[in-house]
Amino acid sequence: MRFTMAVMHSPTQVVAIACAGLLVIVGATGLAQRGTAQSAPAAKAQADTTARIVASAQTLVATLDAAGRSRVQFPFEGAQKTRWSNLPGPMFQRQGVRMGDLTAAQRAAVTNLLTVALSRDGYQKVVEIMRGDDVLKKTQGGGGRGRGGFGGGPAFGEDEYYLAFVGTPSTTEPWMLQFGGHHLAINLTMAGSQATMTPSLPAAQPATYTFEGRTVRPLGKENDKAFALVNALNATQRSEAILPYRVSDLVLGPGQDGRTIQPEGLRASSLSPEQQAKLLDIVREWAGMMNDTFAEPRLNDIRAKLPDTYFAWSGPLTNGSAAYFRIQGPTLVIEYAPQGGVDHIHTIYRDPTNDYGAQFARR
Amino acid sequence: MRAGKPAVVLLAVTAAVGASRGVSAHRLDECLQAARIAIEPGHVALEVDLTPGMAVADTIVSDIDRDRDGSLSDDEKQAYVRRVFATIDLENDGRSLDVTPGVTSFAEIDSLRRGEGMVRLRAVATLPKQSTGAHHVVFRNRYRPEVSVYLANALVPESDRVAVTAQAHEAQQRDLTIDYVVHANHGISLPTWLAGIIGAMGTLTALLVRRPNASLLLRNVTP
Repeated sequence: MRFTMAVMHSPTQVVAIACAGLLVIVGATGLAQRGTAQSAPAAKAQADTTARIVASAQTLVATLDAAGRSRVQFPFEGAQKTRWSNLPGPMFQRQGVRMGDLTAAQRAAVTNLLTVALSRDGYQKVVEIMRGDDVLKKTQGGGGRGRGGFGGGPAFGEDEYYLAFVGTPSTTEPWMLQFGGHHLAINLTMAGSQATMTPSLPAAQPATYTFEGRTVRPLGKENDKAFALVNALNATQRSEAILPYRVSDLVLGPGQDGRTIQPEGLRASSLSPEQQAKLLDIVREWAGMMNDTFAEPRLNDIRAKLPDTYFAWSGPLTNGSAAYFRIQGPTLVIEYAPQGGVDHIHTIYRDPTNDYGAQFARR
Repeated sequence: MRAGKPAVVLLAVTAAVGASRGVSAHRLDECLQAARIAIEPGHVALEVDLTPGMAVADTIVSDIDRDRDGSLSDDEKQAYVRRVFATIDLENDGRSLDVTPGVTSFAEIDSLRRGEGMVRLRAVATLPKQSTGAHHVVFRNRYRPEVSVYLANALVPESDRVAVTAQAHEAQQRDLTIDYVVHANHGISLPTWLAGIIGAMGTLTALLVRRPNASLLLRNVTP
């Protein structure tokens, strides 16, 4: 009898039921998407920021001659997108326009572009990393020219940083601002109102130096905040966070695109709210390098995924020692890897789901 | 001319010292061996990247360039790959796995000698038919320990049938034990089921709309 009743619906009723079911599915999907969608004012602010970055990029391009314009521009879907390194030239030969080849006006245009694209702290970090490289050049040599100049030796210092545009600067289409040299790789991909600065590699050698009478530590906050967190852990938390083995380098450094390693260490869900705040404050040192308008939604995303984020540590617990740490979540990888001592640091910042704006390209 | 020669020598020495100092900013006296192990249903994929520092590069290069002719032939590369993998053990549940080398790449010999180049080795090992439940893979790297530092990590499996549950590293990362579980093959995924149900509803709706007497027909066959 029940079967008879079930099939007694008219075609109109069946269509209505089917449509209702589809509406429920579509509605549920829409509600789920609302949780992650940008608010309209935030999207507008981000689109405005992209427009300002594009305008600054176009201003720079206008100062270049034909050869310079040719050198700075690369297609978006090409090999240049993933060509970056922490190494000095000619160990790694960068493409784009070289700072040392630019006029004062052109260098000022690059500076303006970086100040618009990055946050205040992010720009300051870039400047300090570049100045540190100049200090290294003066103390260790490094006046070679990657393009076969005198000696052909390693070339570093502030002149040896390169800028490239991968894709044409646009307010709507995806493109990337690439800036890097020894110990620095910035890959900022934008697509309309969206932006990501992964993968990027801020590093430092020397990690401490003096400039105009003051002590500069380009990655000092990263170091100090991480030591503060690991020392704020209780014994149980530490036993999970501390890896019982040596980590002597970055695991996901240059050339390791597309790989996701199994997370290790202490899950952030085991942290107190105060400890979670400390962890996010460490993350901010990397995620907060790009313009604040883009950095805040990125940090909100990382905060939302904190329960599935891990903090791992390898090395001594006394600040001033060389210790490796890693922060890894569903959309985040940060590694901080001293290179044999405290005065030479490599770090990497990735989003395994959106390096080079992979999600933007799929829109 | 005679006065110029010492100057040229001096310049060359200065350049070489400058070069070595600059390179010393990066790994100099160690060979970094970075291994990544991916466990998937039916196989284990192994990646080992070797980056010799300048001071130990000759040790590695002479291990490849056995005829000392200053170039790396295909035969020398293949023989080297076999020698390296002969020093690497891969076990699953206590049983040794046969490792088959795959695509490899070698930096130019001069680049390796300058401490800039990398040798990328790839291999795959077939897993025996496995029951669902807990298993473990052991990776041991014994290649050139006297000059090497190591990294070893499990990659997150691409298949949702395999999940890594724990990793245990030896203190220097020469050895890595990976605990993992194999889940039953559920066959059709939830999204596929949903798509199928929606598709079936659509088809049924279309049939009923095109055949107005369908409900009558259904009623007629009801006992």
